[in-house]
Amino acid sequence: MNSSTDSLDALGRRPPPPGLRLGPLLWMRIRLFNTWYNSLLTLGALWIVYVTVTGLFRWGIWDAVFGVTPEPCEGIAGACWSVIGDFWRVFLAGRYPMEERWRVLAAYSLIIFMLTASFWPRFRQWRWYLLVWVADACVVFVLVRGGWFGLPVVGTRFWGGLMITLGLSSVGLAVGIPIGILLALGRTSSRIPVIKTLCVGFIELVRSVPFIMLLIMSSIMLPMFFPIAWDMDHLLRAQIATIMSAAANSAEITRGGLAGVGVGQFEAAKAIGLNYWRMMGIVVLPQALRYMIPVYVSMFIIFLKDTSLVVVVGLFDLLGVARLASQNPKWIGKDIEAFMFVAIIYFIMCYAVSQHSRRLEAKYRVRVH
Amino acid sequence: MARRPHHLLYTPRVPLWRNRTVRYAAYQLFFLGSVAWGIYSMFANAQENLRSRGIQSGFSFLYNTDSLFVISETMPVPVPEGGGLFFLVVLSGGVVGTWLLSRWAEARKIHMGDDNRLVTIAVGLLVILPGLVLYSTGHTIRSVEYIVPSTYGMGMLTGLMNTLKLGFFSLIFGTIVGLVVGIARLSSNWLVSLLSGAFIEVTRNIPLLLQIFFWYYAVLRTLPPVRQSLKLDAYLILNNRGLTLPRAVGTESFAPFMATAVLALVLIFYWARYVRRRQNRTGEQLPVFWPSLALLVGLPVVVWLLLGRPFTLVFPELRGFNYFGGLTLSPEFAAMFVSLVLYSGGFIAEIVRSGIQAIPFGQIEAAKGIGLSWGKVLRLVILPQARRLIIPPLTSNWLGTIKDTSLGVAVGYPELVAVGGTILDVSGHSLEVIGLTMLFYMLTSLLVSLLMNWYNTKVQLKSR
Repeated sequence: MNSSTDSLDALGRRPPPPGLRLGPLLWMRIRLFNTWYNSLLTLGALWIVYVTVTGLFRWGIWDAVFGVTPEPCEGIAGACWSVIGDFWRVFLAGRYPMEERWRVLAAYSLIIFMLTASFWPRFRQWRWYLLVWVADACVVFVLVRGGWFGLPVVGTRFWGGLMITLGLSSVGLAVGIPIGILLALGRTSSRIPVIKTLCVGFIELVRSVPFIMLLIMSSIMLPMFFPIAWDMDHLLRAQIATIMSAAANSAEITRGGLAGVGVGQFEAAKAIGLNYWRMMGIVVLPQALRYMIPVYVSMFIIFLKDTSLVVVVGLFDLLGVARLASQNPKWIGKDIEAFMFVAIIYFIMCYAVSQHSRRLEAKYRVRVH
Repeated sequence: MARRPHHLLYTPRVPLWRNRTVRYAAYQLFFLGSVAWGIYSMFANAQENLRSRGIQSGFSFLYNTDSLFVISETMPVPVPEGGGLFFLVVLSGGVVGTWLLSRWAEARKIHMGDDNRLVTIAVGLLVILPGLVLYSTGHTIRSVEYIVPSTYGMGMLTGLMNTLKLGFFSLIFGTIVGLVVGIARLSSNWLVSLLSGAFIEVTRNIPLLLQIFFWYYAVLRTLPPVRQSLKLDAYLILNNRGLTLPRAVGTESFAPFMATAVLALVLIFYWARYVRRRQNRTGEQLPVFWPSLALLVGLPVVVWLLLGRPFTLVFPELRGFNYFGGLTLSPEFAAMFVSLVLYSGGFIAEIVRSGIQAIPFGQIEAAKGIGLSWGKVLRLVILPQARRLIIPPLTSNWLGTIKDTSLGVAVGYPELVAVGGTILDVSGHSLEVIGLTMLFYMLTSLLVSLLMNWYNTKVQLKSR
């Protein structure tokens, strides 16, 4: 091993040059007070930080009330977190029946267990990895919905809160991405102009229309397009809209990934006699998708946030429950607390995923130089 | 075994069902057939369902004066007839004429910006001629406003105007916020960079609808009622009905005032062009900013002094339960505007940051090395190079912002989707209303992507 390569780290980056250690005073001179306008900016920024942090601290912790009843909140200056104490079960599971709540908790624990296990590389490389995930998803669905193994059925109108937020976005992506890959394949093949046109039409149509309109359309128009006898579930309608949007967006992402795979790969695959599906499935798509993983992860964040729009069609996801809580006569006017709580949940989820995506991006970065 | 003729020796015998052309045609026919059947049966069902509810399909309902619901925010829409139509024709004629001119120049291998005569013709077609038409016939332009009862078509148009109004202001201010925060994120000042980072992460990682709800229900709705409005004399009145400002009403000298402002813009354009060409020719630099400011402020002020003030302020008055006569920004608009600006600002900041960071650091060091100030480094070295990388994601972000205005439906801001939804409920013409709404969004995204492609081909590095 020669010395010029072993100094690189796992990602092929050169380590930073050895120590230019600044003392705290010198560091402040350079990073905060190097010019007069930077000093002014620093003072201004310090003031903003001071006001925000002390304000949030006083409002959210120092003057706040933690409890489960509305009475102690009368006339206090701080936050009334009792609304969260009273409603947290609804935030987690919506109007799911009290005596069946353990099923939702069990489902959450299963998902968290699988997510944690997935951080272990040996498990990810296991042959049955994907199958285990599929089985896990099935178990979660059966647990939540019921109907088998003596579990009573809980209809989707009792579902709500975080359950819907996570469910809509992950099912939307899990079903939408394979459809999107097919759409992208249809769009990039030149031998089938009719299918290509239809794929382009679908992708462009869905992508140009706001997601909220897709939701409204699928909840108002979809029942109209089917015989009156079919009574479609409200959650299913919203799910169809998410799947359509996920399919169109992931088709566009996959197209970018396909364009990044060199022509030589296609030619080599054809030369060894693979047919179209094998060429795509064995040679091209694995390379394309590998580079697209970070983009798919960012898409997941966008979907996580966009599912909050289902409030408009009358479903109670996290945000819907926040509205529900602040309209409850007991907790009237406690909008800020409810919204803050939901905002913190969203922020933690999205920030964690986006940081993970950044790490993936660094890992999978294609070096073209 | 009989010998086959030589030229047929290697001809493979492909059965019909393995012939590539036949197979692909069959696949496509099958696919097309199933899609067509699916769409047909869906439409048949829709027709059936609509007929059972007694709804006639067709677009004629747009013209019937039976729209009885109230739209909380309306604005006068100019009617394309008489002076308005004339202006529209002249303006679109100017655009088409300029386009033809540029094609003509392209065919002659002339760069249009290099030819003084061509530039003058273009300015004349695009600005001077429409401006003259507007100046002379402006008073004949008639406008209509949605007042109950009105037509459904007028309702849709009002929704469209509200979408455009919200989209326009959010785009401009969102871009400014994004540019400032994105540059601040890369500041050498540690605290400023940290604060902008916090802004970016918070605005990007919280759903837009949650931000809208926060501003609407938690902030604006908790403002005092009309009687206890927060007031800054009569200039600024803030209450839970919105923000009320004095309205500017044009007087007789308004038209000449605006005309000189436009004239100043044209002069600035020529001055900047002259300065640039002179610098290219001789290397000598002339000031641009201060003369431009002097022109832009000076000429209209001269008109103001000669002809009297161009507009008067009409102050809002408290009559009954609300303020009347002023310019009111509704809480719905304000909530949408603030959250859209912050949300898209966060995303644009990230786009700007990554665009700037993609520039090789040597460029910045070199620019500093030849003694340019930080502002000039930014203006002359960084932004022109970063622009190529920033513009494509920026346009798709703009498109996203225009689509995001549709979230107004959640707080009752009467934009296209909200008004469309009401009309759909009231009239039952769901297919037509949704079709029209989709048409608008598709046209917008088509237009934006066309503009973007055109711009991209212009700014991309020419590799020779």
